[in-house]
Parts: sequence; C-alpha cells; structure tokens
Amino acid sequence: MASRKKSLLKVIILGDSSVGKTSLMNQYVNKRFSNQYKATIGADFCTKEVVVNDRVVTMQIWDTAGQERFQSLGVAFYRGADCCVLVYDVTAPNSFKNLDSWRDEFLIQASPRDPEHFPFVVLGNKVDLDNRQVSTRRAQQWCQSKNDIPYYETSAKEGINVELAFQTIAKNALEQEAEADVVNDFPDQIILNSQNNRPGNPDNCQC
Amino acid sequence: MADMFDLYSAFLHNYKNAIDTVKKCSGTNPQFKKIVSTIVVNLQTEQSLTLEDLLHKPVARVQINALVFNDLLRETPPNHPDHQPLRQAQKIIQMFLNQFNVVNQRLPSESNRNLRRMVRNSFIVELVDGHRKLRHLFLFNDVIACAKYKALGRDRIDYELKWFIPLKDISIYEEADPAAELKESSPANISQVKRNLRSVRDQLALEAASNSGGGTVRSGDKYRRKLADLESQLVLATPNLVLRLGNKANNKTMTFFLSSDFERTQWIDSITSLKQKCNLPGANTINALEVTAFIVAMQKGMKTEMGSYLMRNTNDESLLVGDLHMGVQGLQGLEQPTDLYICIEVDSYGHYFRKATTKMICRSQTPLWNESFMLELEGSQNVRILLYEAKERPLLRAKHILKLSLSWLTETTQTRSIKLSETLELGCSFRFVPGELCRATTKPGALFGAKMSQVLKREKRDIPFIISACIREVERRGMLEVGCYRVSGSASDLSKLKKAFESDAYEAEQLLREVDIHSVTGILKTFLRELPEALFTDQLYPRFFETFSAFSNNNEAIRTSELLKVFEELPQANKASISLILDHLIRVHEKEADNKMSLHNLAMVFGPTLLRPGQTQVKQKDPLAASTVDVMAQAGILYCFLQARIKKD
Repeated sequence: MASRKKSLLKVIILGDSSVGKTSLMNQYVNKRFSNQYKATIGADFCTKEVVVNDRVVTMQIWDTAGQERFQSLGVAFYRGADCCVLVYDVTAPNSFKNLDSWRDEFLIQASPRDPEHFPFVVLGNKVDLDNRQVSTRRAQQWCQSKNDIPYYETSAKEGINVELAFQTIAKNALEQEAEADVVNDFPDQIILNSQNNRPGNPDNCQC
Repeated sequence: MADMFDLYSAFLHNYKNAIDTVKKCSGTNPQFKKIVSTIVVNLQTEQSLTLEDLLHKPVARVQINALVFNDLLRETPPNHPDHQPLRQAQKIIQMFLNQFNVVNQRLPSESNRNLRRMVRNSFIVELVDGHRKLRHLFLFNDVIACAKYKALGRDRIDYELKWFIPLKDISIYEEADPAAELKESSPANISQVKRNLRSVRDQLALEAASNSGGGTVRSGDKYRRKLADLESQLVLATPNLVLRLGNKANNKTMTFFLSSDFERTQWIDSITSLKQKCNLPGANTINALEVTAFIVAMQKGMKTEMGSYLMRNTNDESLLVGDLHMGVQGLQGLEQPTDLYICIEVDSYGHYFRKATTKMICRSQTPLWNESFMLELEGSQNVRILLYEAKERPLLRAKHILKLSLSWLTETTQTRSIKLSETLELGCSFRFVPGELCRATTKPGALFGAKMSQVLKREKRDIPFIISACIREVERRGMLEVGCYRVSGSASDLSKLKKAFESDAYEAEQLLREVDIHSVTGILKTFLRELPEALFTDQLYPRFFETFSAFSNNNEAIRTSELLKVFEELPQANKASISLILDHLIRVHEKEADNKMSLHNLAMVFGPTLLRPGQTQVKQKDPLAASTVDVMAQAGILYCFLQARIKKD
C-alpha cells in the first residue's frame, strides 16, 4: 500500500494580497524573511523534503498572486492539490472576511472529490504586529464552522508557528492522499484531465 | 417741522465733521481742549452737557421725533382725525431717516458711540418651534435684531423684523444645553436633498449640452427653480453648530444653527466685547420700528455679505462643484516665532464649513506645513484661510477669503502666494477637478461585464464614470495607503459597490466615499477585469505579446518604442481610459515611499487587469505554463508603458 502513495504533495497557498503568502513560504523553505514589499507575479512554487509519519515526501508549495483572482491561473493550477492553505492577515479584517470566498473559489475550481473533507489549513499571519484586529476566537469560530479546519497563528517575520503549521499541512495532505488511494480505482482524474487534451478540440489546434 | 428737514439734514451731514474737528483740535491744541471742556451748558434738568453732547442734541432729536410719532400713532385709533396726518408725518421722518442712514452707516464707527451702527450681520438659520427658518441677524452696538426675508419680486428682498434683544439683556450660551429642547420636528434628509440636487444639476447640464444653440429655455428654467429650491433646503439643513442667545428680560432663548466655528466665535466675541464696552444709559428704550428702520437702511450696502445663493441670479453658474486639491506650504513675514496652525473653510451654498486643519508648527518664525488637502466643493465660491495661534483659546492671527473661480482654477496644479495680512504671506497650491455628472445606469449587467463601447455610449462620456470616480476617490484619500491597489478590498463592500454602480451612480459615488479605500481600488480592478474585452483589446493582445517577447530586457528602448507603436493602433476610447489610468498609477508611484507601490508592483497588479488574451486565443496545451508566461508578459508590458510615461514627463 505504502509504495503506491505519491511522494509529491501539492500544496496551494491562497489569500488576499499582502497577507504574507510569499513570506510564509520563504520562511518555511529558506528560513528567511525580507521586508521588501513585492507583489508576486502569477504563481511560483518551492519544494521541500519533509518527513511525515516516518516517510520522506516532497512538498511542492505553490505561492500565488493574491491579486489575480482565479483569472489567469484558473482550473489547471488548482487541480490535483492535496492541501489548500488559506492565509489572512490578523491586522486586516477584510482579508479574514475574504477567506470564505477564497475557500469557495478553490472548491469550485479544484473540484476535489470530497469537498466536505478536503484538507484546508488556516493561517492567521502577522501576529508580531501590535495592531491586531481579528481575534483568535473569531478565527477559531470560523474554522470550526467549516468542518474544523486546523488553525494556526503565525508570524513569517519572526518564524512563529511556521514550522508547526507546515508540518500539519504536510500531514493532512498525506492523509488526503491515503484516502484518495482507497478510491483509486475510480478514474475521475483521467476524465477531468482528458477534457483539456481531447483531440480535435478546436482550441487546442496548434497548426 | 417737516420743512426744517433740509436744515437737519445739513446739520447731520456736518455733524461728523464738527465732531472730527473738535477732536482734532483737542488733540493738537491743549488750549482748545480746555475751552471745549469748559463749555458746559446748564439746562434746567441740572444735567451738564459737553460740546460733543450739545452737538449731538439735534441728531438725537430727529430720532426722538421719529419715536414720538411712532408712539403717537400707536396710541391713536385709526378713526381719529389726527391719525392720517400723524401717519404722514411718521412716513416723512422715516423716509428721511432711511435716506440719511444709508449715507450715515459709512461713518467710521468710532466717531460716535451714541450713534447706532451695525457691527455684524449675516443670514443665519434659526430654530423656531422645531422648524429651521432662514433669518438675517443684525448686531448693532446696542441691540441684536433678527429679521425674516420677504421676497419682493425679482431679486429684491425686504426684511420683516421678528424680534430683537437690547444688548444689555443678551446672554450667550455657547454650549448646547442638553436639557433644552433642540428637537426638530422634521429634520431634513440631507443626503436625499443632495442626491436630488445632483440629479437636477445633471439634467441642467444635459439640457445645456443638447441645446447649446439657444432653443427651449423654459424647461431649463424649471430645473433652475428646482435647483434653487433644493439649494435653499440645503442651506437650512446643513448647519449644525448651536448658538443660543438668551433674553434676560423675558427669559426666552433663541437658538441658531451655524456651520462654522469661526462664525460662531465671531458672533460671540462681537457680542461679548460690545457688552463690555456698552456704557449706554439703561433708560435708552429700543423700539421695534426704529430697529426696522435701521435694518431697511442697512439693506442697500449689504448685498455682498449675504448668503451667496440668495442674491444669485438665475444665470449665475459660479457655484463650483468638484474637488479642490489645496496645498499649504510655508508662511513668510512673521516677526517672532509662534505656535501656528491653519484652518481651511469652504463655503457651500453660503455656509462655511471647516474642511481641513493643518498640524501645528511650534515656535517657528517661518513655519512650513507642506500639507495637502482634498476639499470637496459643493456649491462653493470661496475658500477661507484662517491662521490661528495656539493658545488656551485659539487666537485668530489673520484670515483671507479667496474667491474661487474657473477663471484661474485649472486641473493642473498652480501655486499662489496669499497675502493674509500686510506682512504675512502664505504659499499655497491649487488644483481643481470639476465634478462630473453621474448619470444613472438603468439595468443590472449594464456596467459590469458590458462592452466598453456600450458603457461609453450609454453614459455619453469619453471615460466610463466608474473609472474616473474611483481614480478620483483614490487620489482623494488613498495615495498614502500602504499597498494601494495591491491589497484586496472586502468582498461585501465590492458586492455593495457593484450593485450601487449598476443602479444609481450617485449612490455609488457616495458609497465610494464611505468604504475602505482598498474596496475602491478593488471595484475598479473588478470592472476592468470583467470587461468582456480587456482595455488593450483581444485583437492587439497577440501583437503586444509578440513585440514584448521579441526583445530582451537589454533592448528596453526599442521594445518600448515598438510597444508604443502598437498602442497607437488601439481605439481612441481605449487609449483615453488607459492613459488616464497610467497617469494615475504614476501619481500613485510617486508616493512609493508611503504606499510601497513600486512600478513592479503596479505593473504586476494592472498588467493582467488591462492585458489578457481573448477567449479564443487561449492555448490549451499547457494552460498553467502558458498562463504564467502570459502573466509575466502582461506585467512586463505594462511596466514598459509605465516607464515610458515617467520618462515622457
């Protein structure tokens, strides 16, 4: 059974602009933080080897541009994700309120097999700042209402809880993987992908 | 006696000269002074009179006669044979007094403290039995009087005295007494009135545009009347600073609403200082008719001080609507270091409202504020600049009223040096962005997701209203916001704004002012993204893309010039909107130190918003890779355009 498991986990980080998605990834992967204020272009990914349940897996973390909501990247980008990380900024109430729409959009675009139990993790970032505006309780309540999404409060700048959060992300992603294996015989994925590659599709014509 | 009027008149005219002469001589010649002081006339009443008092006698007599006739008339029944002659006599005296007062009011006030003179007057809103009424308040050196306006045909206004309080009986309540009933029976819905006003103004402008060659003026007049009516509603409804005057004699309290603290302070200070100086004998009775006579007499010289809207003639379009960007720089000419700050007030249909206050600069002889403000003009004519010295009670050091006019205000920034006093000069800058018409959109879907050409056609503009409105709002208050255009707005704000823009543009503009600034930038980005065709068009997108890809970063100059060539091929309407947006983005970028929006960030945000392949052009082979490459190129192309614009400036 174990040998059949994928060793690559696709993790997608979503959230409003400037909540710190890139910074969280950088902190986790490179242990670095930059004060530079720079919008992410399109999407970028980093990989990191992690040990989960005594297994070495490669985590492919996709950092996205919070800017371009689902427009340019769209379906292809979300498909096949094993875990989705929703990030908000604890000093920006709007970014918290928008978690709902990020989650909905992910579920629509990625259309996972079991949307009810797809693993999300919520990160409340920038806890190092003192002008906090979203309370822990409020965030926890929201997470509970969405099928008990694990919730962490992080600071990409200080490295607070980043490691812990990504460990959980890897663990949950792997569990999703394991559950998927059980239903491995169902060929949904092939059908979904084949739509895009169907021969004779006029949009696909390269001549 | 009637025949003697001319004689009296001559005397009265000479009176000032005589007093002046007496004073002058007394001043220069001590001997003369001595003589004057010894001229004391003993009357039977044992009251001694000085020369000045003596000279004043005939002056007082005219006034007294008027009063006597008045009283007589009041006591005489109309059927009494004497009534008619009395009335005539009173009329003659009244006419004489009126005539005389017009001349006399220009007398320097210090020339005689016994003569009544006007200290302040202004139109004002009074609360009467729970209703706001428009009144005119006159402060004389011995009495305060409140009159009602009575329209007398075209452009003529008369006053009807409502009440008066002798100065000695006035008490001032600066603060609103919480116990006092300030209830208004029907408070006006200001935003509703403003909204109606806006739509009438739009109608008028439409009218003007459609028949610029003359034609039907009548419907225009109808709107103008409506406009005037709405404006006067606003005049009544907007002030909200309370000033209360009490009458010690009868314990009544009068309540006024003022718009600006400056005005309130001025009224209070004038009354207080008059009361302190007031040494009139208490026996001086003041009579309603006499006060009326004074008011009537003052009327002619007063026009300029009145609420602008009242005297406005119907063709006068001088009231400005729009945004005034005003910069306050430095003050020159101070004699010693002081703690100073500046308040800026703007009038709106005659009322001044405090719109901005600078920070205080402590102990500087050449204070430099370098602050800029966005002042919203709505029915405005003037900007009032008040220089205050910070003290326990702020001390007004200087003021200046600057007339705003389209003859010098433009959409490009211009600097002006404003003389606040003989010595003080303040450097200021001004930029005026006229308000736009906002025409209501009719049905949902007519804006978001509609074609650019349809939007422009329906709105009859060169730039979609939503674009210019959002840009204006961002320039108003968003330029220093960290992550301006990068940070997302709230989803609920966005859906509210979307609904508002689709149903009622005025509502939308109001909402723009209230929501988080990131929701303003968000709705603009949403609109641009939801256009069925991006502003850089489907047709030209491949050309932009190929041109960009054909040159490496080392050939920046050629790449940009080639891109600009493609840009020229865009439809005029698209070019206009793109140019407006790019220019705005550059202004955002100029504040990078505050908002952290580098050109890279702006290009990143707007590249994919303004440039995207058409639906049929999307290659499906490797969507992820293709779209990432596309996004890079889109941001790169926009970066080139932004840089080209910076260099051009």
